[in-house]
Amino acid sequence: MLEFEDLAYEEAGNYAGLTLRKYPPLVIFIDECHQLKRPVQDALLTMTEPTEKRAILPLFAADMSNATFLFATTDIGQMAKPLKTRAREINLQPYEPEEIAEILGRIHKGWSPVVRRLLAFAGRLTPRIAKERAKDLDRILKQDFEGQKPNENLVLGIMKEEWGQDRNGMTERDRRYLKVVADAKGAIGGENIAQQLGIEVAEAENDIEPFLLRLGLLRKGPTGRELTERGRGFLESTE
Amino acid sequence: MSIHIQKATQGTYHCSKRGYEILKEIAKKAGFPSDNIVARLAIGRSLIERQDVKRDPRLPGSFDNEGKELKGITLFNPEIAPVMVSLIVQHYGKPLENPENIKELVRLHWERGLLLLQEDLDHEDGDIDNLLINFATQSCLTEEGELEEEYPEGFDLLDAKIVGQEEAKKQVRRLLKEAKGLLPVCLTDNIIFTGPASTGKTLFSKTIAESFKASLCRNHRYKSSKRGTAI
Repeated sequence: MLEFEDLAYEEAGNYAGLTLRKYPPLVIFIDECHQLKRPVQDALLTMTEPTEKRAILPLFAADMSNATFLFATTDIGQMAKPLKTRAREINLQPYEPEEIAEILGRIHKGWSPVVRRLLAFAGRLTPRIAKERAKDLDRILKQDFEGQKPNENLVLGIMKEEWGQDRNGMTERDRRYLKVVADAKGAIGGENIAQQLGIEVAEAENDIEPFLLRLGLLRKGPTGRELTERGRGFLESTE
Repeated sequence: MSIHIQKATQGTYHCSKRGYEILKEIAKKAGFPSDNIVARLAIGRSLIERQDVKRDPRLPGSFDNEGKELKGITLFNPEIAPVMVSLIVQHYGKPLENPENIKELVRLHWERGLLLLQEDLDHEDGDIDNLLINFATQSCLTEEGELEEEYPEGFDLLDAKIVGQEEAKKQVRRLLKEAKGLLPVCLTDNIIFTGPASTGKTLFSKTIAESFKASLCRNHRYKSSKRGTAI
């Protein structure tokens, strides 16, 4: 999982017959920590023990007293409880369109707030995708529009023609998804939706649903997915 | 200096297997006709770092030679050799004990530069254009005291790097303040960042590492902080 061999260290004596290596100030970032297997989570317990902070590895022991552990997870419920108690939980909120527009503004300084806000939706309210869209727009502007500054109408046109999106960033695939949910009698499961759309469950759950949930068109409960009033209204307006 | 140039352009250099993977990835993403360009770019990138490359703990004690093989004369063609070699010697900060040592410095800068370019690329979410723009606007002639001037009193690295997430920033800021008086710098609490995908969990972690000027070690593959000391 983590390899310490290449880090600079100094020998710091002996630890139960193993050489004890002392590492420099270190921030250890463990991403998607809910996916770690239980034995690994258990091993991390001793490493994060406030008074110990040691890792016993096959060939040596590592003194981790200089280490700060940062974990990241999209599913805190899957983490082992003891490990959870070793760290302070800080919750990060999804980005608002204006915040994504601000992020884009740091890269594309001359672009108007309206354009950047549209790109936030084109990026499905995800900074990473919004940056990709902005990059693509920049390419199109240079290639087809002699490097002109983007305006609202131009971006709306590109969203429609190039990316198959309306001004809210919705695609035909999103609309078909909503239609399947609307046609179901009551709540419908993710697998069922994916099957009807002919796509993988992961695609439905990771690529489509989060955006529809953010737009408030969809509701996800223990029994499955349902359209919200807004979702129904949206479908009616586009039919 | 001419003896240094002569030594630097003689013989063959190798990079590690890991370094070569980074080299190929960046060359492909950037659409460069040859990955030799990335090798030079990497050396330039390493020269921006003030830290002595020979004492940089990010680099392992020894390298495999399973990566790219490059002749010295190709890496440093006659036009750029004087400039590159001068910068490398200037970065070293003192006369080389032995002209042969230039080869070791070149190798170390190459390897470190590749790691840094990979890190920059991750920092830019894979956007090679941003990487190159940022690279082009950084000065390779750093002055003493620049690091201190870079973060003046009251400068908030979290605000500079992260948009929004005010509540999370408040909590992290409090922990950083507590950690400031500790030696070595270390958060008093570990942190679990929770939240949906793409909300800045990795960015927070990188920023904390950067504010400590500490290394950032990441599971599965190495990542390091922009001005970190080791990976």
